[in-house]
Amino acid sequence: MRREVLRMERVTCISQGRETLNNFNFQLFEGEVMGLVPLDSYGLDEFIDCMCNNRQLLYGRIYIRERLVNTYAVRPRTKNNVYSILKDENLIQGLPAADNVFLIREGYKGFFIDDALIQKQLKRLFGEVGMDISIKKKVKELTVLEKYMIEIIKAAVGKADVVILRDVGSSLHPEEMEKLERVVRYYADRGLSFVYISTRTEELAQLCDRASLMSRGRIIKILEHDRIRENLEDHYFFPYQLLKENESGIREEGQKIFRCENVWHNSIQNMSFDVEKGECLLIHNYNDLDWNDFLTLLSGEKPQKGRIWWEGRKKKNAKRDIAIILENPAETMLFSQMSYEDNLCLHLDHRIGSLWWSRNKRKSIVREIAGRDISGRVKDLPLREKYELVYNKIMLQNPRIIFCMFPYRNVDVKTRQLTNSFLQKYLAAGIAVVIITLDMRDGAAIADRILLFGKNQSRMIFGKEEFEKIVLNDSESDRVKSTKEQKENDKK
Amino acid sequence: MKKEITGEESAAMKAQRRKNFIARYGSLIALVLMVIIISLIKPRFVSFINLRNMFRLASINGLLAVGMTFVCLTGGIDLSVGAVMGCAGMYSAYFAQESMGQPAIVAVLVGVAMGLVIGIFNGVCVAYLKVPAFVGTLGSMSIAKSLTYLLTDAKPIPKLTESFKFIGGGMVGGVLPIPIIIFAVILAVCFLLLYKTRYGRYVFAVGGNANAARVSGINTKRIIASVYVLSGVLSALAGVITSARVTSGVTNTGEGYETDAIAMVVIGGTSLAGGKGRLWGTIVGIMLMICLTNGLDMLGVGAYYQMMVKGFVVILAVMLDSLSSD
Repeated sequence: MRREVLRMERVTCISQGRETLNNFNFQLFEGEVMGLVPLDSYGLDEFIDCMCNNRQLLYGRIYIRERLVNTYAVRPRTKNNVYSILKDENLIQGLPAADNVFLIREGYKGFFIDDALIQKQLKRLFGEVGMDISIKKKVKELTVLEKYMIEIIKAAVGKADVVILRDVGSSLHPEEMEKLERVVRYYADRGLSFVYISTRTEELAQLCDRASLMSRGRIIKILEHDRIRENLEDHYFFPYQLLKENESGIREEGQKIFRCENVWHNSIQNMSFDVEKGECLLIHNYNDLDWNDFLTLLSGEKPQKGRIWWEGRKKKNAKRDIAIILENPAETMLFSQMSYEDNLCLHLDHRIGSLWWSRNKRKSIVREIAGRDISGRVKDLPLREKYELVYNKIMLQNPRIIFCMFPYRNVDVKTRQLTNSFLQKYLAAGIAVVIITLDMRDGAAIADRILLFGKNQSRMIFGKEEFEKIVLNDSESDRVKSTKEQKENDKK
Repeated sequence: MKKEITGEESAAMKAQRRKNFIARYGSLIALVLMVIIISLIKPRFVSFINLRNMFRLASINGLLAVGMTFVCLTGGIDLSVGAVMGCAGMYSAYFAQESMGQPAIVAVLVGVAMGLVIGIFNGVCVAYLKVPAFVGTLGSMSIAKSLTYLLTDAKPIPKLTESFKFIGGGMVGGVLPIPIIIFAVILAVCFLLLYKTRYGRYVFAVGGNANAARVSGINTKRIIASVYVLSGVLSALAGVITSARVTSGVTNTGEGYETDAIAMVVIGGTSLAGGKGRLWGTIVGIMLMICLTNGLDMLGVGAYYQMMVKGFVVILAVMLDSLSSD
C-alpha cells in the first residue's frame, strides 16, 4: 500500500479579506508526481505558503506523513520540510553547487569543511542521475536546467517531504524537459514526492502520475495519468482556446519600424531581425542568450557591434515609442508604493499636458479605464487588476512597438487568456508586438511570424501558416503514435 | 461560515487601517503631544522668541533634510551633506571677508557652486560609475572635509561683510528671519517639484522599482544623479546660511548634521529602501527633532541623555512605519 505524504483537509484561507483557499482538499503519496493546474490565480501562493510555512488557516487541517502540522485551531511556528522550486531563488549564485547542496541548508552543523569530500559526493549524485555538470563552476555560471537539477538534488539530500516545482517547464526547451523528467523520475522512484504546477498539457502529461485541477481556491477534478491530455484540452482549456483568434486587421504590410542588424552585445551574438508595423513576431531562443542584454540595448545603451534602427534611422531616443513588458509584470512593472492613478498615468505625460498639476485629469483617466475610482496602494490590488493596470498603462502610452518578455511564464490559465486578449488589442490598434518566449507553443496562436534563434548564430523564420503546418503534422503523428500504443496495450 | 469570514475580514481591515493611521500620523501626533506637554511644564517653550529660534534652527537642518528626502526616495543615501555644508560655508565665508571686497552674492554663488560640484561628483559616482551610495558619499564626505581644512589650515575666517551676515542674521520687518524665508521658498519649490512635476513622479518611480522605471523609458541614471546634485546644492545653501549666521567661517560646521538629517527623514516616514515617503513628513520630522532638542534643553536634561532619547525616537518612528507594511 502506498504511504501518504501530504493531506490537506478542507483547508480554508483568507488573504486581504478574500477567501483564497476554499475547502481545499489535496492528497499526495510517497514517490508520486502530482500535477497541479491552476485555472485561475486564486490561492496558488497561499497553497505553497501553507505547505512550506504553515500559514494561518481559517479552517481545516494539514497532515505531513500522518502528523498534524497545521490546523485552524493552533498555528504552529514551525516550517515544514517542503522544498519549493521557482526559478533559481533558493541557490546562492556566487557559490559552487557542492556548497549549495551540502552546506547551505537548515540543520547543517559542520564547522570544518572538506571541499574535496563534498565535491566527490556531489559528483556521485550527479552520476546517479546521469548528469555531467562541472563541480568547480559557480551556480551563476550554470544553465537553467542545471540549476533546477541541483535544486532537486538539494531537496533530496535535505530529505524533503515534498518538492514543489512551479512552472519550471516554461524556462526549459523540450529536450531539456526530458532530462528534467529523468531526474524527477529517478528521485520519485526513491520515494521523493513532487507537486508539479503548470498549465502546459504536454508537460503535465509527460511528467505527472495524476493532475489536480484548481479553480477559485478548490480542487475541482483529479485526472489520472492517461486522462490528463484529452481531459485538459477538451474540457478545461477549451473555452480559452476559442479566444485564440487573431484580430490584427489593420496591419500595413512591409513597413519596417524596428530593425536589429548584426548586433553583438555581451551574450548577444550576431542578432538580426526586423519588425513590421502592426505585426506580431514571436521570438524563440535556443542558445544561451541573456535577454537582459537586449533590454539594456532597448533602454538606450549602445551595442558593442552592429546597429539598431528605428523607422529607418539609427535608434537614439525613441523611449515613448518602444514599450517593454517584463516577465511577471504584476510584480516587476508596477510601482507598488504609488497609487493606481500615478501608475496608470506615469507614461502619459507626452500625450496630456499639465497632467501632474491636475488630479481631476488623472482621476478621470482612472474612471475611464478602470470604470471606477480606485484608491489605495497598488500592492493591495488583486492580481488580475494588477495585470490589467500594466497592460492598460502600456495601451495609454500608445507605443509603436511592444517587447513582451516571457508573458506566459508562471501564469494561470485566466492570466494567460487576459494577456492574449491585451496583446490582440495592441495588435488591433496597429502596435507591433514582439513576444519573447521559451516555449514555441506560447503565443504561436497570435503570432504572424515565428523567429527561432539557434546555436552558432543560426536562425529560422516561419510564417504563421507554415508554422501551423509543422505543429499540426507533429501533433498528428504524436496522436497516431499514441493510439497505436494504446491499442497494442489493450491487446496485451 | 460566511458570517465568520466577514467578521474576521472586517476586523483585519480595521486593524490594518489603524496601523496605517498610526504609521501615517504617528510622528505628527507625537509632535503635537510633545509641544503640549513641554509647554505645560515650561510655558516659555511656546513664546514667540523661542518659536522663532526653533524655526530658524529648523530652516538650516531642514534644507539638509529636504535634499536627503529626495535622495532617500530613490533608495540612496547621502552621507556627505554635513561635510558639504561645512565646505560651502567656509568657501563662501572666504569670499565674504571684508578684505576680499566682493559682494555677498559672489560669496553665496561660490558656496553653492561647491555644493553643486560635490553633488555632481556624488551623482556620477552613484548613478554612472555604480559606486554604492553609502561608499561614494562617504568618500566625498572625506574629500569635502579635506577641501575645508586645506583652505585655511583649519583656521576660522572672521570679519565678514555686513551684507553677507544679513543672510543669516537679518530679519524682514524686524520679525521674520531671512533663513526662514529662504527655507520656505525652497520648500515650496521642492513641493512643486516632487508632487506637481513629471520629475517628482520619476523620483518615486526610480526608488520604487528601478528596473520597471528603466524599461519604461525613464532615464534612471539621470534621475539618480540629479537628486545628489539637489542634495549637494541645498546642503551648500545651508552652509552659507550657517556661516552668515555665526558671522565667521568655522571648519567644523556641519559635523554630525548628516545623521540628524537622516533621522528627520526617517521619522517623517520616508523609507530608506526608496519609493515611499512624503515631504510633509520630513517637515514633521524636522520639527520633532528640533522641538525635542529645545524642549529637553529647557527641561534641563543633559546633552548625553538627549542623544539617547533621540536614538529611541528614531527607532520608534521606524517601528511605527514598519507596522503599516506588515
